[in-house]
Amino acid sequence: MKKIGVFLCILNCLFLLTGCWDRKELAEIKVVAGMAIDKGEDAKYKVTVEALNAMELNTQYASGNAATIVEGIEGNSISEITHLFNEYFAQFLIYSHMKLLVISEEVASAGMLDFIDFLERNREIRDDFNIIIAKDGKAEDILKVSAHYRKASSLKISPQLDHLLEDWGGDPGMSIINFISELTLEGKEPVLAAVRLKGDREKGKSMENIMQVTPDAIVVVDSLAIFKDRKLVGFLSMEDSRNYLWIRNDLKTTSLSVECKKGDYSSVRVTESKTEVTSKWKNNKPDIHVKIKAEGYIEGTQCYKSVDKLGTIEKYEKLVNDTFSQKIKDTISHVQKQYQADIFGFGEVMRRQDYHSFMKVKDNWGEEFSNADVKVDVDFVLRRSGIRSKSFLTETEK
Amino acid sequence: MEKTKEGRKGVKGMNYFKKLMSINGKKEIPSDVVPTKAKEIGIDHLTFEALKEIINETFGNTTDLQSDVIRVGNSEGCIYYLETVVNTEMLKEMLGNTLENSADKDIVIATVDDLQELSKKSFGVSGYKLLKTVNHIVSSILEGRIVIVFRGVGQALSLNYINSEGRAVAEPTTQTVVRGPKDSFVEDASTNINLIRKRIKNHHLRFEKFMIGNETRTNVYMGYMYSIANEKIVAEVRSRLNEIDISAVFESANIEELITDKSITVFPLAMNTERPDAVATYLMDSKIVIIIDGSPFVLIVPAVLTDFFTSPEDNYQNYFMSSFVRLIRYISFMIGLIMPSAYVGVLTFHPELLPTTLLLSVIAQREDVPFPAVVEVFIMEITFEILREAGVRMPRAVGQTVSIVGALVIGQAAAEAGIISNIMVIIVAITAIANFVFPNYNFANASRLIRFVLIIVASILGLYGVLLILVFMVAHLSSLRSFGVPYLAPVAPFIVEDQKDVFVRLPIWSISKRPSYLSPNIKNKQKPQGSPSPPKPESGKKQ
Amino acid sequence: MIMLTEKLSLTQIFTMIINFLLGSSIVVGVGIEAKRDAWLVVLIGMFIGLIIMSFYLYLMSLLPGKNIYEIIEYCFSRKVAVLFALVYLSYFIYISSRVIRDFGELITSAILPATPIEFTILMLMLVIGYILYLGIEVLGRTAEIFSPYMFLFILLLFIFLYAGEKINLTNVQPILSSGIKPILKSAIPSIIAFPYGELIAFTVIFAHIGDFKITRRVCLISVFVASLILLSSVFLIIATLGENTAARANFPLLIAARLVSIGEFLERIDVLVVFIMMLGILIKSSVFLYGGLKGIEYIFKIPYRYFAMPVSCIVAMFSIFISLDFSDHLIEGLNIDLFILHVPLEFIVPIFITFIVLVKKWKKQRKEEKGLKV
Repeated sequence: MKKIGVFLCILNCLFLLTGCWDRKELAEIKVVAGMAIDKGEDAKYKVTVEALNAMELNTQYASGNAATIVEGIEGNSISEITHLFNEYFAQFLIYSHMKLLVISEEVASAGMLDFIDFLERNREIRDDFNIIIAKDGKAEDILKVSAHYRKASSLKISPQLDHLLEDWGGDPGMSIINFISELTLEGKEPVLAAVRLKGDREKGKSMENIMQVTPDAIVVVDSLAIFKDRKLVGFLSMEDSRNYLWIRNDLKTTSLSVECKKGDYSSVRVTESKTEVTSKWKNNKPDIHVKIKAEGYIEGTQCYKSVDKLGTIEKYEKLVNDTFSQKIKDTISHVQKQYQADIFGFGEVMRRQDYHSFMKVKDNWGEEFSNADVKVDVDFVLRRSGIRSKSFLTETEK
Repeated sequence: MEKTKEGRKGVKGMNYFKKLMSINGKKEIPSDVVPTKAKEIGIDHLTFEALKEIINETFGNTTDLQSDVIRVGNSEGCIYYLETVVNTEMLKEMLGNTLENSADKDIVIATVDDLQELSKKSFGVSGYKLLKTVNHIVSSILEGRIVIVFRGVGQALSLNYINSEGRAVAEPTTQTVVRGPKDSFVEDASTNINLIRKRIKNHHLRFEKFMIGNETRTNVYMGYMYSIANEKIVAEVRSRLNEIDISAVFESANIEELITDKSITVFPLAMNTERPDAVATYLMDSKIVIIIDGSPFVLIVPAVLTDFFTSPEDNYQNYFMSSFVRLIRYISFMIGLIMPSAYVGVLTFHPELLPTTLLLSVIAQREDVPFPAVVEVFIMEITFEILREAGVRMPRAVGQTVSIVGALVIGQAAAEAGIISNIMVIIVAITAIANFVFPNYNFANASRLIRFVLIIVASILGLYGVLLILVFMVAHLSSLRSFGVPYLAPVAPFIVEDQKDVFVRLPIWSISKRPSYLSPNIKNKQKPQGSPSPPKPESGKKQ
Repeated sequence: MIMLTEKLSLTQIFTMIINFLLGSSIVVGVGIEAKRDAWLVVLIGMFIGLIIMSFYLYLMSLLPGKNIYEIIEYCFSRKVAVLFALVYLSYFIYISSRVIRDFGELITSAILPATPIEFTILMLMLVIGYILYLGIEVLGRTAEIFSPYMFLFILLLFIFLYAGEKINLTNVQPILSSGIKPILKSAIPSIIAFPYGELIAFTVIFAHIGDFKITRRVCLISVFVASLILLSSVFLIIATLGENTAARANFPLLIAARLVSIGEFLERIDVLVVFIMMLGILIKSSVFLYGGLKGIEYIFKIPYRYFAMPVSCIVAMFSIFISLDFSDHLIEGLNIDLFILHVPLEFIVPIFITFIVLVKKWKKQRKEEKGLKV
């Protein structure tokens, strides 16, 4: 029994004296909320991180200082740079709560997307942050802005993108795993949301920016960035961004305006929508058919036609169907002609539906896509009209 | 161990190993510890005076030994008793009425038969014993009986005038219920048995008496339902009680340590309770009860883990309520065990597991705290343990307020002074309250101890360490046996039919069998039945 | 204290086999080389696994109450049996340390990067050593107690991923696009060796069972259930991650679990996956270690409990020595081991032994018949 006691004592010493290798006290860590990648001047990349000052974000302890610290370092590999930040910061940086990754237009256009391997491989960096492209400027400027919501730029942009996706459909909702898998798939090219800093760059850096009613600088979601062969090739408008989501069946809700009479528009809110895409090989080119079924209600109308008549409802439905079938088709054609990049994933659909044909052409699918025959059908059903039936305009018109 | 060709070389090593592992470790007890038993001397060989001298010598000069001379008819006798233990009022009455007055003036008691005649006539109703040896006389006097020795008679008469002064039956102090009987055991064993017999009026309820403790000679009773309890377990308990060789026994805890299976564990292997209704329930479930004279807590064996999560009140409430409360008990056990270590583990090793806003809030709170999380947890936990013990020892009036409220106030003050963070106070408070949920104090103690081990391991290996120690604990629990019954029955080995009373309590009318892991003799408690339903309308008649 | 002859109840066998088969395969993923059709590989593996299990059960039923060492002794003499026992016991201990190394890699890569892997492995081995010291019954009971939680966590993981809309069925289509060849290529022989061939370790445990007929049914059902769970896990991995990421991830289920995000509150639950894997590996490694200990017991005729602790420490040490780095570990396991160790020891030798046992029994029967006639 004595010997067991000695054994246990030695074991205890082993545990207690060797120290705890992974321990990081909370006072020693700083949470990184956003990371921006720019092209470096003296080295390959410049990485800027936005680290949160936890005391400032807590209303009890806040004392008016800046809520975040944004600093950047240049280097050749992102992984090395992330550990180098103690050149500036006092504490360990932890990346597991990162909310935003901003890639500058420059980096993306040059196709320098290889740093993403680090983001995927690292155990700390998870999969739940938004990725965006910074248009017309440097990525670090996006982080160096103070924001009204939660004071930190990343903490504002991240939910902003999610809510935009939910409410109107302006953000493709890309995460690292999706982005990488789309980079490697032959039948789809990836897209990312693009933001732009609107206003005065210098004034946006101080906390006074948020003391104003209309801030001097604010980050605006501007367009949709398209990639082809791992390079950024262009931008699409917000309308095209919404159409993209619609084709991909990722649209949650959106609002549409249709011209019911010359110069007068009615707006319709789509609450449910389902898209089916068929993509087959026909006549030596891909034959793509997009069928959209949607439901919604009338949000507002500027026309006097009485909304509670069936005829009017049918008319509006037809208007929506026609207008948006055309608009979506236009989006696809625009991408076909200008970029020849299949961002809509029709290639992947063909892989599922017409496997062998796809396998034959997958290596130059971009070209095949640009020659494809596309048909779009929107089938929209109006269910309700808000909490009013006839518009007051109907009355006044009489 | 066979000495085969292959094994011979390894024999010495194996012997060494065996010693190391000490699986059959039983040490020899040095003989001077074992008290020598007094010699048995028959009193028919002694003269009257010699006997008196022996008795006086045995008792030394203790002032409470009375040896008076009495006269019954023509015979002279000596009455011995300890006046502190005997009911002197009744004794005087007896001496006055029965012996000296009502007996024949001419009666002569010269032989054992005469003594027997007298005893039958006068004391037949109240009970008497005839003793033959000095040992018996001494032990009778010690028990509180009076011993009357007549000159020339070879046996002594012993009568029962024991003064059972003690606490009156009152409300239980430890296991209180909202609804249910409110009497509790007292220190006197016969009152306790009385309380049990009142509830189980069955001739199969047997009690066996043991005298345990070489010096203290405490009465210990083993009670069981003869028809229901498994004979093997009863025999095992009996043999273990007989084997006890200790000088003093005062509380059931002493016996508990001596008869439960030898294993190094913090978990209690026998239950104890203060409530007669609980005891009655357990007896009917084919368990065995051990009552000790001098302690209101009785032991119940064999005990399994799930028994510690039940309280007698479970049967007195609605079954939904009881099930809910039982689940709360299990959850609070886990909370009480894991919460501080999870706090340490998550905050120091895995901050990525917390949602971002929570993490930021905690960082802000802990910004100025000087200590690492582990030290903080230890300070608070130990402070709390100190407060708890102090609360138990303090006089009643003050004790109750001090415990939890005191801890919270001190915690709050410490938080404001910047020694610990606010979250720590909350966590310690929740843990402590979760611990109080237990109906059984012994088991809660086990949980308290393991909590500390978990905190230490969490500070070394984070949540992985916590998981490891939990597995260790479960393996340890699985290996325990209480009188041959696996400690984790009926969860592992999983016995389907016993699940009705483990995690939830199904209605009484649906639990028709006794726990099968105890192998009772009569398996069914009642006929399998459903609950009563309203009478069905006769066919043909309208509702 | 009387040493009770250890018996395992049916539920214990059931849970042990399931945990054993799930072991590390649930987190590492099986058959992902077949890309989108990985779950079909598991489906095929299930049938093969049932056959393998029946085969081992049959072998055990020929000589009830004897573990594999004693069966070999029955076939040949004791000296040859000792030789075989040495081979098998080192094989079991080797696999045990490989499995532990897998788990150590998971912890070090994903959870506790700065802690030396030796330390995490040593801690686990101490617990395993303690469990085996207490006996195989305790292992059974521990398995029995933790299994419901393991199933619950797996189920919760599925539900959360589904509720969070992370499951993308398009990732699994088209089914059987490349035809059945890649599936078969992936299934044979890799999936029959891992994890189904490893059931040979149970030949040491089956000696403890009481009634063989019911046990047979229970064992087959448990292989079936385990395969179903494995199948759903692989399906889930491919559906959430896509074939590309799933093929490149070291611990796909962990990566899939990181995707769970419901209502901003239920996020970051990798702990569940670690718990699942830890439990599976604990039982798998313990069973293999038990096989090895029984081999030592057979050779030296000393109860195995005496060297449970020391041998488990040896396994801890050995698991560091067997590979230099993670890719070495994987290559050794998938390519080299397969043909040198797994296939011969798990299939060829048992088939050979069964054959000999049958022949011997037939000879014995004939002798008895002749004896009766005379």
